[in-house]
Amino acid sequence: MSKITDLLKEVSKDVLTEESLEQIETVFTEAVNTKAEERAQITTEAALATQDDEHSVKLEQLLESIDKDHTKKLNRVVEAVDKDRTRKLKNVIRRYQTAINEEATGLKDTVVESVSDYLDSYIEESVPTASIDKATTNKRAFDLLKDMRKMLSVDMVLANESIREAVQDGKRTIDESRNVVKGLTTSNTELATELQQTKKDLFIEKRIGQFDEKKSNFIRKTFTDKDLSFIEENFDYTVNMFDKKAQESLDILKEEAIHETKTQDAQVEIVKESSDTPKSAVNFYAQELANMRL
Amino acid sequence: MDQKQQIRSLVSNVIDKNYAAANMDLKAVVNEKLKKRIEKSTKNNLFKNEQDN
Repeated sequence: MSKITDLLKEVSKDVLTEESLEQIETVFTEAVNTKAEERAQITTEAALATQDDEHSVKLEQLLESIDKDHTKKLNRVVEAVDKDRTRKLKNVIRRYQTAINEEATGLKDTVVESVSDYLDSYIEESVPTASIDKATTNKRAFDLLKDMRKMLSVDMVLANESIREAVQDGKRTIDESRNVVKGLTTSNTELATELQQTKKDLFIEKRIGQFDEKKSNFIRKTFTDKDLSFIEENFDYTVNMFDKKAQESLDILKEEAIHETKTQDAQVEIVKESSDTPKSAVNFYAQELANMRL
Repeated sequence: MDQKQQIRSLVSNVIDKNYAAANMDLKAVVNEKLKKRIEKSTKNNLFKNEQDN
């Protein structure tokens, strides 16, 4: 301010008064201030507009990046949820497929069985088995008679009383023959048994002719209830066993006689007969020999 | 067709309300059952002696 006042003073030393100068100075100062304020306001507005634009751009970028991030995250969440739901749905599908394939199959079989049983019982009630049997028998007999007529060249004219009697007579004869065969079979069986027994006795008696009584009794007792083939197979073995045991007993007696055994003070052992059934053939002979007390 | 298969078909047709086909299946099953009974009956001895019983 002082510069403009000094300048005016210098330019108009003699023209302007001090008051005029002050007024000019005031006006000039006001005008300058007004201009300065206007310019400052314009500059400020321009700066604000520029800042707004920059901030808008930045905000848009921020929003875009936030959107992208959220979209990405949401996509991941959706994928995870989808996978989880898919897995669960697959489990449900598997479970129901199992139920359909196994449980439903069992149920289906049960239903089929039940329906089948019901139909059986209904048919049994409506058409009894006895009726079916009777009808079948009649039909078969009718067919058989038809075939027989054809075979014997007997037509309905010839199927008279005499033919019927002949057929009945044939049936009677067959029944009688059947009874005779049954009786003969029984008789034959009895005769075969008797023959077998006789052969057995003959074989034993022939072989034990030269044996003493004790030995003969032992042989007879041993082979009671045995068949002929068994006796033939085991006769010599049994005789040898008997002889061996007899020889052993004799040796023992001889030894006792040699040593002059005092029998007065001897303690007699009570021999108990065992009633156990021998299991093998050898045990059987040993048992029999022991029972003989040789 | 097997008898069980026929019964399955019968049940299936009844469930589907296909009564015409169900009727045919039922007839077939009953015929089959009767045939079996008759076959069983024909295996009996025609000249079965009364004394054997």
